[in-house]
Amino acid sequence: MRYTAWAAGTSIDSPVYLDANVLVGATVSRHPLYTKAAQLIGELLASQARILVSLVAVEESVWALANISYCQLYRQPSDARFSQSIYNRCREEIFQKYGPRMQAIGLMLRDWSDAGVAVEVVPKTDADFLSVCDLTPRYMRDYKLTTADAAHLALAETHAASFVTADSDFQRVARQAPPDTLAVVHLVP
Amino acid sequence: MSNLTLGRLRIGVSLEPYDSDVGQGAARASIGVRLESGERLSDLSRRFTDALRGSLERSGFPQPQEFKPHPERTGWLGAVVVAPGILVRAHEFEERYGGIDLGALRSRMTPAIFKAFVRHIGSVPGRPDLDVDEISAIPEVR
Repeated sequence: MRYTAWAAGTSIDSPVYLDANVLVGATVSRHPLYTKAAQLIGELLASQARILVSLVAVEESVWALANISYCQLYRQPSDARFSQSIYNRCREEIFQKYGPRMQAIGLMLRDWSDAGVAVEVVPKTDADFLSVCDLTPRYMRDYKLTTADAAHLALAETHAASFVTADSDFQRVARQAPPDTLAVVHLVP
Repeated sequence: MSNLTLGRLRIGVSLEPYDSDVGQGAARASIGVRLESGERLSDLSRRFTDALRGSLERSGFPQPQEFKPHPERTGWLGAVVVAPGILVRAHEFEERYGGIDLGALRSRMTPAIFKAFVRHIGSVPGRPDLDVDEISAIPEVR
């Protein structure tokens, strides 16, 4: 695994698997990574890269939008605790006030695809799915990753040449992992 | 909502504040018009024409290209045309597109991809203290 801290102009090998934090990072403005995330997405679209997304990434992205909406609705700081039980209590208000934004990631992917961007969902085949099932617990154990992060890595390892993420844990993983063809492209402020 | 008829086309005109991305419905021209303080009739007419052109284009009626290609030259009444049919207010333009090399990206994208790109980036307002990695993590213990 190779590691690259992304800067404008850095080339990214296609196909490219996008972590949820990058999808959210380019959709939500004003945060420290926003400009870089948006520029990176622009570079990928301009270079006609194949974009790989997963249900795990979409699920996390929608959760992030619910989290942001909760903080704005109840005037909480952005790092306020947001749990499943809080979400259950506030779900109705969140969707009442911010319902349309909860579709933002899905609409974005749909518009990219309609415009001609190669957006592909992974895993693609039963065999790929089984590979991801095998790799996910292995990465949880070997690299001390959460379930979702291990799944992202397994999905990227199985399908992509590059894994674009804002999660600094993958810098550590790239150091620990044996050399192979996957490049971890890290979005840093 | 009032209705106007131009030729064979019926146009709904709302007195609600205009949205930055009007007329999403296919084959429907829905235009919000708001009279700003001190606004001249010619300004209102220009806004109406631009919104109508955007709506018609999105509804499948291609319009002759009149938009100037550079966003910094297309501001009117505090709004900016980022791509045909994508209008944002000036402060939103700075917030969403400031620091991004739109000109270089546009030159390497098809118009459709550029429009899809600018339509979505920064479309949800966040905060300077936001950690996008932290908020994207779903708690593993529920």
